[in-house]
Amino acid sequence: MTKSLNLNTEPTPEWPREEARDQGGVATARGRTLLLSLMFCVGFMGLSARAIQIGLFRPVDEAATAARADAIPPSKRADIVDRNGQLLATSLVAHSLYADPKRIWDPVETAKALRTVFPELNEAELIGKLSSKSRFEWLKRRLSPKQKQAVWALAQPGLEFVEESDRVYPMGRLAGHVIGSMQPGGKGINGMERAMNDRLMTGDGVTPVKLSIDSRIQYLVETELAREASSQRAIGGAGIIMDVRTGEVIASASWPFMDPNKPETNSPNEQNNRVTNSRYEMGSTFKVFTVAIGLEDKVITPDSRFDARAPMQIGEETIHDFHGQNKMLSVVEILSHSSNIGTVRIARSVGAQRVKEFFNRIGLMEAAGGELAESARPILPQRWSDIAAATASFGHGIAVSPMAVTAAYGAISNGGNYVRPTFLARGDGAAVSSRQVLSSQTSTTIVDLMRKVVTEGTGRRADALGYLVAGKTGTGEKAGPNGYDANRRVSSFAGVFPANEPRYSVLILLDEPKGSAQTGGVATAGMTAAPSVARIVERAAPLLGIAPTRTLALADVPQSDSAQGAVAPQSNPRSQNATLEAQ
Amino acid sequence: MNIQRSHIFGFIGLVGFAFALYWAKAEAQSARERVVALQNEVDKERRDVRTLEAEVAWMERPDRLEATARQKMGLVPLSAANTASLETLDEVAPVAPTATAPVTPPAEAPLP
Repeated sequence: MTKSLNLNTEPTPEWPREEARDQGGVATARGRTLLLSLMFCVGFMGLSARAIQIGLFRPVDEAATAARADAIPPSKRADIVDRNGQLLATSLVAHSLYADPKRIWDPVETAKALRTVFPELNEAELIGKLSSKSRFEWLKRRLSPKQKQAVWALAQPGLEFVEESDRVYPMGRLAGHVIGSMQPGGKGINGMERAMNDRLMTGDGVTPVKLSIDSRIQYLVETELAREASSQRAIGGAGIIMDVRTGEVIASASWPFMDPNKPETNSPNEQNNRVTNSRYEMGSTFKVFTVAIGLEDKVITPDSRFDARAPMQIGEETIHDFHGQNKMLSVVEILSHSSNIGTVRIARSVGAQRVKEFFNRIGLMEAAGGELAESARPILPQRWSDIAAATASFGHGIAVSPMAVTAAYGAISNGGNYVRPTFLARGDGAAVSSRQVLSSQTSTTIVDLMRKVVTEGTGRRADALGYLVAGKTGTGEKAGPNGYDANRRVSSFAGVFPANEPRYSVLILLDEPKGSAQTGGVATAGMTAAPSVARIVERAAPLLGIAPTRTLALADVPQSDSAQGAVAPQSNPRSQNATLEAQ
Repeated sequence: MNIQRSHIFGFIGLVGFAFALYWAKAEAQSARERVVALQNEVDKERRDVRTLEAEVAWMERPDRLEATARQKMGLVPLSAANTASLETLDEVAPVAPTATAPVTPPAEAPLP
């Protein structure tokens, strides 16, 4: 059935429309257009405002941060230099190696490759680190440039470098105990790195900390100390030179030496600074102090005589003489022959409390390590009885650091003023605080007596060629579980030079020397420490600007075509002597 | 709205002021970045100087200097035996009389 198409269109009520009827569509569209325009306007206004804010008002520093981040500024930790400006410690940039384990393809292969560069690393540990789930594992800190290049050449993914500040000690082991060492990227472990940590970090990073050490003299002392301690098969040793006027420590050596560049490799024995942190019963070097009390109190004169004919009994203790003279001894002889009996008689004549009081005044009853944290307090008698004072008068029953003895020798020889030792250089003309412990007259007398020990007594081998050394030997026995052990000795020589106008105090100590072929197996101070002091003074005095007192040059002058003139080192402006260094 | 000439000048002035401000800001930023770049350079130079100073100190180790002076130059440590003051220098090392004729100044040679 088909439906026919009606072409005859008849008007209907709906069509054609007479006029368009607005049912709200136009108004809606216009509203939407307006809303859209408004939104665009607001959007563009917002963007414009932001553009203006960025273009005109943003601080300029923000833009700079990205550029700045790619350069590590130099370390803020200041350098350490010696008294002449010689560099002892500085901070450099080092590269450290880390791994991003997620980017490691094959931990085993990478570990094996790394061990070709670092054979000391454990392969199993490396594989463990390279397989971990973290994104950061330290592999090796402070690489050398060669090691870094070798790791680059491995071309292993996931191995990255980071720049770190590294503390470097270009002089190696020289003055290692004084300078100290650092934790990686951390604080000082010991020495001045620890003691001066705040000062090193709070400065501008440019002004160095200047030590009192003279690296040339330090080298001489270390060389001689190592030589003597090795030949004597000692377990340790200490060597010190101190300026008696200012308290500045010119050299401070503790053997065995410590390498500050590798703090982790130093044994506890090497780390121990015997100069300030070990305490010894020093023995006869203390006799000088006892005599000084007697002279100061005018209880004795150099010519006073004391009975040393027989051992002396105090309570249960019997005092013997090692170098027994068995006769009446003058004070000069008591020191030159190192008589225990004579010294005890002087101590008894001044009284136990006076001995204690004087020892306190010259710094023997306090830690004497200067700025160093490794500064042991002395071991003192619990009660200063007559027997305690008697044994302390010749250096037994009281244990102090070698530095304390050196400072005390400075006090009794510089005119009688105790100056605390310091490892920091004092500026020219800087005020030095001191306390008077002796009159200058007593000081002069005691130096004369010490000079006689070197010219006539047990310290003859300390007499340096061309320089006047004054001092005293000391051979103490170390205390063990069964009392004093005659086989474990501490041999030392403490003194000053030049004796006509003391400027430096010097001490060499050997811890348990065993004797050597050169000394005929003898390990006493007169045979071991005393000659070391002579050799040190002979080499150090010219560098310290001290003119020789004998006209040796007139007697025997090496004549050589290659002799070359040289002026004295510039470290000591007081030195006006032209010097000649010849073949 | 009737736009007057003063409005146009005001608008142009405002745009000009904004541009000047932007220009100054851009210059300041550029200067700042130059300062940062220079500071980076200074830092790098300081690091390099420190490295060189450490290397110099390493070369100036007393043990190395002593060995070098002894081996290369035949020098020995200073001692009292070879030390003299200026006053005694003539006695210690008198000037040897010269056997040769007095040195006459050489004839002037033409400059190359």
